[in-house]
Formats: sequence, C-alpha cells, structure tokens
Amino acid sequence: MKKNVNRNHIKESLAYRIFTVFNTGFILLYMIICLVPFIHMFALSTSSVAAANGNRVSLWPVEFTLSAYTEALSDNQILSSLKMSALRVVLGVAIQMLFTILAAYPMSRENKAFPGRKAYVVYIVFTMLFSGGFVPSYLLIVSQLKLANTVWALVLPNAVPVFNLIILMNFFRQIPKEIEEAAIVDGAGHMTLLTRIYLPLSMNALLTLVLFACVGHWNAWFDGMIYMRDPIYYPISTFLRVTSDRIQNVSTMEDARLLMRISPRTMIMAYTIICTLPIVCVYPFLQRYVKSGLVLGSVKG
Amino acid sequence: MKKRILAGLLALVLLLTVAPFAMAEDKYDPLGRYEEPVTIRIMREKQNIWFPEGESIYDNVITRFIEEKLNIRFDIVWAVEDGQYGQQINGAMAINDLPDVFQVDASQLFQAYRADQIQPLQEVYDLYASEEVKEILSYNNNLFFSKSSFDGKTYGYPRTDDFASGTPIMFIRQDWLDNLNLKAPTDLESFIAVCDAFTNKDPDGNGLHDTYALAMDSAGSYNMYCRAFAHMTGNVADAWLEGEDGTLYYTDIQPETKEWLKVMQDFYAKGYISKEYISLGTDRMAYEISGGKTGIMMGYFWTALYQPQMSVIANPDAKWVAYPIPAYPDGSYHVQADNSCYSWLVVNKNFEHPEALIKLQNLWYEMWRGCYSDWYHGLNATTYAEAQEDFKYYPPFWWDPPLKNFEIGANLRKVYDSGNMDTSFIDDDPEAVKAFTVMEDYRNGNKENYYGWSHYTNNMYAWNVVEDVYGGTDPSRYMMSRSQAPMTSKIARRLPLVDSLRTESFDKIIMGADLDSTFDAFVKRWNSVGGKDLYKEYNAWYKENKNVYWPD
Amino acid sequence: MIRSAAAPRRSLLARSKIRETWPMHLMMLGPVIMIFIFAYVPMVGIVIAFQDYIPTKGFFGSEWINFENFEYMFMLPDIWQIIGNTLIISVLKIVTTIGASIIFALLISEVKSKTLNKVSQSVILFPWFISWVILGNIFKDAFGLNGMVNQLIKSLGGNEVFFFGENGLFRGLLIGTNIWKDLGYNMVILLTAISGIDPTLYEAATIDGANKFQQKLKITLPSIMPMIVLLFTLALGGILNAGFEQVLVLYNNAVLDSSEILDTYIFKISYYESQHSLGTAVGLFKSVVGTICLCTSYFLANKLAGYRIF
Repeated sequence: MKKNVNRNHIKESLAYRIFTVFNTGFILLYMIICLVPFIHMFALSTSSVAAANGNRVSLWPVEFTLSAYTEALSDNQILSSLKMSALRVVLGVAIQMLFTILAAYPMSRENKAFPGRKAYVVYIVFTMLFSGGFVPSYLLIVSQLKLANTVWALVLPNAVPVFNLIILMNFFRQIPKEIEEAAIVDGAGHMTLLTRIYLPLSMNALLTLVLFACVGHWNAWFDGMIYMRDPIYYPISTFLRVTSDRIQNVSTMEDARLLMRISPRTMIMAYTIICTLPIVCVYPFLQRYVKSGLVLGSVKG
Repeated sequence: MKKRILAGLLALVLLLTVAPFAMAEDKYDPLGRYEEPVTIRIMREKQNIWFPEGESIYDNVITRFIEEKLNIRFDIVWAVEDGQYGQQINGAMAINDLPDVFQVDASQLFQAYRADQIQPLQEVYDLYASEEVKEILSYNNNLFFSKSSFDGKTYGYPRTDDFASGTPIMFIRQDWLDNLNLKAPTDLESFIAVCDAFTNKDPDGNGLHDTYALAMDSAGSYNMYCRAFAHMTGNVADAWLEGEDGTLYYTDIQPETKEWLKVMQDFYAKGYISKEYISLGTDRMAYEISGGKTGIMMGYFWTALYQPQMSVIANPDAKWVAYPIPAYPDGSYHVQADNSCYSWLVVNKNFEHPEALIKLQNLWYEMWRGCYSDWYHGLNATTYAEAQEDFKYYPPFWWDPPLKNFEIGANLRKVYDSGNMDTSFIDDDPEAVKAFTVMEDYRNGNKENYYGWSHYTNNMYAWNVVEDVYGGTDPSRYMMSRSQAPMTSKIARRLPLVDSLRTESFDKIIMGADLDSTFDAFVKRWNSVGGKDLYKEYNAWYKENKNVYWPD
Repeated sequence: MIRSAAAPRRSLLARSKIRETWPMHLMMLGPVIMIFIFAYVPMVGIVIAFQDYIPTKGFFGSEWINFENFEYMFMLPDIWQIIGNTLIISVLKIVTTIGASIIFALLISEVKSKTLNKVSQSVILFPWFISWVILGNIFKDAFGLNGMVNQLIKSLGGNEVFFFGENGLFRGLLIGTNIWKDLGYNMVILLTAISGIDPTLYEAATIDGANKFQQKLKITLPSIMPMIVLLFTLALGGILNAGFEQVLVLYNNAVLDSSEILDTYIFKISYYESQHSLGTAVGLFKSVVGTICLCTSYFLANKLAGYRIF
C-alpha cells in the first residue's frame, strides 16, 4: 500500500510539487490578509495623535506611544464597561449553556421516543422567524420587568440560543445509541444519561458552544444601547459602537467642544484593541474544539 | 354622586396645592421658592464635564443653588451617553415611560403632542416667565415658538441656539494663501481660482500633489457647503421662500438650483472636493484637515473650536482665518440663517408643576446676567475655572440667548478698539471678560493655549464677518426658510423621505451624474414621494400665520 | 437512524409512555418558559403593524387601520429596491462565501505540514469571531482613498478605487469583506467532512491512475456534496438577513441604492424616525417571507441532502 502512494508521488512529483509550493504560498498570503487589519489597528493605536490624524500610519507605529492606552484605561467608563462585559459573558454563557443542554437532550430524541417533540421544534423555531420588534420588547424589559440598567436585560432575553441549540442537538444525535442502551439496561434515568454519558461525550461540542456564546455576548451591542440608560452600564461593544457613531456627525458647538477632549482616532483604535483583546486571549484555547464540535445536521438513516 | 364627591375632593386638593402661592405676596413670582420641595425626574446626557472632587451631575454647586433658591431637586433617572438622548427619548416615548421634563426635536414634539404625553405651557409661561426672558425669547416675532405651537398654545419651551447657528462662514489656511501670494476669495471667480491653486499648486510646498481645496464631508457641515455654493451663484439652498404670488415654494426644485449644483459638480470633477467626501464623517474629515490635506472649510461661527484647532495642535504653522463666503454675483450678501431653535423642553402631562421649568429658566437667566451673575461668574473664574465654559452644563437645564455670542463679540471689539485693553467697561458681560482673558493669554505668547486661539479666531475673525459683512443681527438681511410650521402627521412622514431623496440625488449629481436628467428625475420624484403634500401643508399654515411671524 | 435500528433498541428508546418521558418534558420547561416570556409575549406587539400606534393608548387602544401600513410600505418609492438589494446581496454572499470556503477547504486539505494546517485554520477562522463594530472602524480606514488597499493598488500601478462611492464597487466590498470574515466558519465544517472521507477511496483511485486533481473532482467533491448542499439550504433560510451589522457600519448615502437592506431600513424607521407601526409592518413582511424560505430550505435539505436540520 505504501508503495502505491510512493509511486504516485514520484509520478506526479513535478506538477504536484509546484502546486504544493503555490498552495502553501497562497495559504500563507491569505493568513497575512487575515491578520493585517488587526496589525494596522494596533499600529494606529500606538502611534502619536498627530501621526494617526495625519494618515501617516500603516502597519508600523509612527512616533510610538502608549498614551492612548493609559488614557483609555484610566477612564472609569472603560473599566466599568469591561466589568459589565465580563459579567455579561459569565452570566450569559452560564445561562445559555444550561438551557441549551436542557433543551438539546430531549430534542435530540426521535419523535417517537419523545412525544411532543415536533411541537417543541415548531415552538422554538418560530421564534427564529417572528419577533415583536422594538417596542414590545422594550416595554417588557424596561416597564414590566424593570430590568433596565441591569445585566439581566442583556442575558435573559437570549437565554435560549436557537442556533446553538440545533448544533448541540445534532451532536447528541450522533452519539452511538449502543452506549446509552447499556446504561438503560443498568436502570439509568434521563438525568443520569445526560450527565454521565451525553455531556462527557460532547465536550468538544460544549466547548465550541461556550466559545460561540462568549463571543456572541462579548460582541453584542444593540441591547446594551437601548436597555442601558446610563453609560457606566454599557458593555464594551456598546460603548465602542456609540462612541464611533457619535464622532461621525458633529453639528453643534456642544458636540465639538466635548469631542475636542477625546482626540479621536488613536483613542478609538485603543478602544477597538481593548475590545478585541479578550477574544484573542480566549480564542486559541477554545478554537481547536470547533472543528470536531460543530455538527450542523444529521444523516437520515 | 360618587363622581361629584371625587370632583369635590380633586378641587380641594388643587386648592391646597395652589393655596401657598395664593397666600404669597406675589402670586406668580418668577423666582418664587416652593414651600414644599419639588422633585423633577429628568434624563440628561452625562457629558464629559470637569467637576471638582465630590461633585457630579447629580450633585454640584449649581444644583445645590437651585435647591436653595427654588426648592427644586432633580432626580436623574436616566443619565445617558452623549449623543444617545434623542434615541432614549424615542424609546421612552414609545412605551410612555417619560421623565417629567425633557428635551425634544420638532418631530418628537409633534409625536408627544399627538400621543397626549405633554402639557401645554402657554399659560404658565405667560404667568411665570420673567420679563427679561420673555423679551429675549420673543426674538424674531416669537418665531422660536412657531414649531412648538398647536392650536395657538405652545407645548415647548424653546432651547435657543445662537442666531447665526446656521450661517456659513469660510475658514481658510492663511499660510497657504500667503505661500501662493493669493488673496481670500470674494466671489465665485476668485473662489475657483483659489480652490484650483490649493489643489494644483502645492500650497503646503512639500513638492507633492497631495492637497485639495475644500474640506467638505457628508455629515455635519454638508448643508453649510450647499448654502455657500448656492450663495455664490445667487441662490438659496434647501429653503421654503415666499414667491411673488404670496405662497411658499421650495428652492431646491427650481431650475436655478442647477446653477450651484453645476459648480459643485465641476469642483468634484476637478478634485477641489475630496473624491471620497461622501464616505467621510466629521471625524474622518477632521483627520484630513489636521493632516494638512485641505485648506478651506465652510463652517459655523464656532468651527475654530474643533477642526482648525485640531489642525493647529497637529501643526503649529497652520494658520486658519475666517472670511465671509463668496458674495452674490452682484457683490451683495444675503446669507442663509436658521430659525435658531432646534429643540424644545417639554413637560410630562402628569407632572404637577409645569411652572417649575419656567422658574428654572428664569433663575438661569439671573445667574447668567441677572442678580446672581456676580456669584455665578465669580465661581466660574475661581474654583470652577477648569470647567471653562462647560460650567453652564452643571445644571440640567440652561439656555443660550440667541444674541449672546454676538454681544460678547461686540464687547470684545470695543475693548480692542479702545486700544488700552481695559475691560472695566464691559463688566456687565462677564463672559466677554473671560474670553478676553484667554485670548490675551494666547496673544501674549502662550501659543499652547489652543482654547485661547480658537476664541480669538471665533470672536475676532468670525464675528467680524457676521457684523461687518453679513448684516449683524438684523433678521431682514438674512434668508430664512419660512417652513416654520409645527409638524403634522403628513409632514412627519414625508419630510424624512424628501430630505433623503434630496441629499441622495444631489450627491449623485455632484459626483458626476448627468445634471439635467438627474435633476429632472429628482424634481419628479420629489413631488411624488411627498413634496406636494409638504407644499400644501406648509402653505396652509403659512396663510394662517404669515401675519403672526412675518408681520411686515 | 431509527429506521435502521434493531428491534430491541426501539423498544427501549422509543417507549412513549408519559411515565418514561416526563423528565424530558421537565427539562424542556425552563427553556420553554424563557422563550415564552422573552419571545412570545413581545409578539403581541405585532398587532401594531395593523394600527396607528399611539403609546398612550397601547397595543389594544390604538386605532385599527388594517393594512394601511402595508399599503403605504409598498407605495414607498424605495421599497422594491430595498427588497431587491436584500436578495441580491444575500444571494451573492451565500454563493461566494460557500464557494470560497469549498476552494479553501480543498487547498488546506492538501497542506502536508500539520502545523501549517492547524495554524492556518485557526487564523482563517479568527475574523469570524470579531464583530462588525470593530471591523467597521478598520475597513473604513483600509478601503478609503488614502487607505492601505488603495496605496497598494497605486504602488502596483493602478488607479485609485473609490470603494465607498460607487454602487457596484461597494457591493463588491460588502461581499469581499464578508467572504474574508465568514469564510473560515464554512471552511472548518467542510474540512471536517473531508477528514471523514474513507481513505481507501483515494487509494483505490490512485491505483486506477487518477491524479490528485482528478481525485479531488471525483472523490472529495462528491463526498462533501451533501454538506455543501446543507450549507446552501441552511443559508437559504436566512436569505432576508443580508448582514445588518456589516451594512450598518459601512454604508453611506452614496451607495444607498445598492446597499439599503430590509434590516437597516427597519432600524432606521423604527429607531431613528420612531415610525413604530410602519417598522413593525416591514418586519412582519420580512418574517412571513423568511418563514416561507425557511420551510422551503428545510424540505430541500431533507430531499436533496437527506439531512434533517431540526
């Protein structure tokens, strides 16, 4: 068998080798393209205000300085935003994972083994399509539940992430039924099956979903903008969005006077880097599970 | 029967609440202190204001002063991010969960009125507003109230802006002019010449073809450029004016509009305007300006505070000077101005003390230039000097009289004209004295005092332009749109449509679309998407109200 | 799976007596309640699409105007353009992103070095996790006239390209940056499918004298075809979401003609102009069409790929 492969190699060596070289080169080039924007961002944030405003920065800091960072991090706003984002991620991910697991287990069952499953599917999928829109959600969360300015307004409304639920459900379906059978024979209940068999066997999928949930919560900005009425409760993404939106249209003297105090470009870039950094830190540890944890659908036998 | 008892009780309650005032000597004292504390729930922007240790927007020297004088307290229920106020009010209005006193724009004011969320203020305004305040706010035949009045009653307390807030002023890099031995342009022809030189003749002398003339962007100052271009071809942009038959017509659908669009189109084609102006917000254009890429701005009278100041900080050699925009073809000036009130303070229907707002504004006037002015400006000059002009943001509500900056400019000129730099005779205008101090600090060699620099540029150059060239404070010298009607359901729906249609079509033309056909298509669509309705609505209102606001 | 299952297994796993299944219903209870409160309760508000909504009168006191909002919506001059943009941008994004990810999956599967293989996957997937709010700031700089991209074009001797000003180019920018961001995600899924292919198939082909290229065409592609079809059909369900955040942070007046999509439009009229009834009407329209698309895609997935999504 090895012989065959070798022979094949020799036969195609020239064309294939050229291809390999180009292929590797191409992949490397594309990797650079993936990273360049972030390098540019970093270079801008560490350049002097004059250089950044003067469009003189590309991939290397000009007149290197960390003043944008020291200024950003000495600002209470940034610190409290980071705190809010962290709290949101911790609570939000915990809640999402709990409900995703709880729902994915029964829903991974066949229709026959779990009567009513179809109804649940329709019930859940319907919410992917229809929503009440801005006013009623706002009314519910702000007026009825009084959640404005609390982290709960950010974590409760999407406690059941439908997309993640589908991924986990499909992962559960892949688990060989033989293992489960043995446990059933031993008299295991559903809770035991879930905690002793399904969860340990689904670590890859679970970690993938944790990554998704973390990033989802970290990046969300719109809910923060409407439910947080005091910027000290803004998550960092909301803060970034609101700030970069605000400096785009200055037409009153008040705006101008206030904006003069946050020499914009380097600061915005520093905020951007600060906002990206946690993802950069978490990503290497969790991304390797994505490949095996992401299961989109299941084969019909 | 039950109803009657209820009504009786209600009357009694009313009587009891009104009673203390009835017994007071002056029933409607503009500064009358409440016996019982009155708390106003408000929303306010956080604003990046300097406070001394221990003070904040929640509790500071001014809010304590207000409590002492009027017994009014503020409960800041919503402390929102700067720039988010409007959206948060939209949300609050949508679920009917509103502060007691809040600020709205014309469209929000109409929606709140329609939803019955706010109360009329006419009566309390007439009863409580102090004479000085009434005098100031009646500027221009009460035009500040036109958009907030429904059925002859005002629902909004105008938050006035400077009378020149919509008047374009031209800022130029004087050092560039000097480099090229040019004079500031005064008409279309010389303007084109200067723009061409700024674009093609290397005004910054760096040997590169890397500059362009006009710092036009698509955001904050876009309208200023339209107004300036319209002016230099003898037209008016985006306004409703009275035609010969006495009805209002919209300027931008008239064929003459093509005259100035043509000029802008040429400018774009020749590269005098940034090729990517359309995608540049104020921020990105500010980077271009401070990066020394461009040398002419059509700005506001206060513009020196922002982009030119950034430019001077980045490059101390940059020298920005304010000039009048190029004149009408016949050399005269008929510059556009706004009815300089863009927002109003309104009072929640359920709030029991609408007069508290009137009193607060009275008190603000007294602090600014009345009986408490020494105290107020004294504080601002000493303990609170670091807050600079932001000191006025300490209380939640304040206002700028429309002629405030103009008077400051006039007083400063008096000082400089007198030659002996003596400010004692303008002591009744403490803000002018304050401005004089920072300006002198800058002029006497503290070149790092950029704030002084901006003040100097604004107050000397820009003010001179308004006073000497544009016509000072005489409203008849300016062109002002007469579409000052309060919103109606129709206007509220159509206005965003036609406005966005206008900017979209004009941008296309500027960027090179065929002038005639694009413009004709624009006029046609303008009529069909709602322009005709606007025409009807505005004219119906104008017929009724012309004599009220334009009595001549 | 159940169809091919052996008889005894069925009896164990498929028992449907309530005594056996109540714990599963109990598990569903939490999610069901949360969804009810935060998704179904607000749906009451859909009624304002048929009303002239006035906040003080509420959802049930406002005047009913039946389909007036919808009539108005379809009279709006731009609505067909907006619907068209939504569909065009969406379809182009789906096709290009999945197409590019197929190519990249095939290329990366040929990378022999294990390290490069792993690292390149991680790097290419990375942008998927970064939000458009962050990327918007960067792309506006990079693709501006003085940005890095144009500097590169100019240094290669080309003319500067105004990505943010021309309708066609801007759409290209939307699609290109979308490929850049979303490519990695689909690629990882496809690579999983590729690594699941039985290696003996390749060996057999090698013996038959097929070269690498032929192998890709004849073995790899057909093997991952169900997954590709699945990706397409899944994307079809979201065809009216043409990428709200991306468009919102990147577009401007000059390119409205080519880039205003339903979601940005709804955002504008509800959030900035407070036309809540109209906004809800447009949203409802979008939901109805979205439902049709999702149902279609569900059945297509089932039929074409033999996949079951839910």
